[in-house]
Amino acid sequence: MAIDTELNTKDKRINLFERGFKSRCENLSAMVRSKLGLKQDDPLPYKQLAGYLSVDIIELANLQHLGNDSKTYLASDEGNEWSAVTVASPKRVIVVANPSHSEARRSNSIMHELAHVILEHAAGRVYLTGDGFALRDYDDKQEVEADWLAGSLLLPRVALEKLARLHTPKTAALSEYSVSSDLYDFRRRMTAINRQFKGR
Amino acid sequence: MKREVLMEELGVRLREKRQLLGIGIREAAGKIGISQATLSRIEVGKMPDLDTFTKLCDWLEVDPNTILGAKKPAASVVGFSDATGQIFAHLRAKKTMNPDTTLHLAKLIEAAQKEL
Repeated sequence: MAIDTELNTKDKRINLFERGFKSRCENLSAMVRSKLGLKQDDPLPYKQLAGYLSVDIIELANLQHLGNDSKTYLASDEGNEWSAVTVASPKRVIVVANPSHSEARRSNSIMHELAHVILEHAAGRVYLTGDGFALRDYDDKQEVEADWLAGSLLLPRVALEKLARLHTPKTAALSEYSVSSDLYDFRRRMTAINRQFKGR
Repeated sequence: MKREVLMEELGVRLREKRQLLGIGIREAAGKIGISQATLSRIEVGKMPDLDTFTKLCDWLEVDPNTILGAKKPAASVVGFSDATGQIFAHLRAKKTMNPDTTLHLAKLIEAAQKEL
């Protein structure tokens, strides 16, 4: 699914949020930056946040127990239906992201997974049968919450406000915060920054 | 039975029931409680998520094991107790996927779990 489609779908699912959730995300974004010694409007690299949360990001190619056929398929156009996976035990949390995606998209996907960790979302069940048939849970509420927190972590409102105030060109903003054009537009719309700075 | 065949069979059963009732995808999706787009994708062989699969089996009035091709006695619709493995993970992916993608993702999740 293209990111813009994901975001359009997300627009329609926003009513799944509990009251105060969006403010909580902005607060979490500020708190995390503070813990990491960053200013509230600084970019937040996913590697830095993963380190703070003790989450290991492993490249698909480096998974020792995965066959080459799966590695090839999951990095191909045909297998381009996934963005990231998180597995966890009490001792370790691992995130694997799709290596074929752009860095901006991987950044959003990994932040989405880290958001699941921050929000302490219960992992979904994946059922495997003997012939390799797999089914999994899909929790709309958890997914939309993780989407929103990921966006807030990458581009908090204070950062969008700074970028608008400084008239930072969009391309420079995308590069500085390592986000996609779709996510940038989405966040500006959802935080009403585009209306606040209209015509300025 | 191969996964593609299983999914094709599910799609065929859904189309047959719709035709039997004389209703279109939109109406059937409404009765099942899923979106029209999701039902369309599954009818052409895409893999549903667990919740959608359960709803489809309820609407078809079939034991999920019939579709899964399980050899063991029937499992409850919710429990799928015949499944050889139940693991836990967060997965950011399309809600419905190609059967091959789900298979390789399942292998990825298993491999990642071995790293824990």
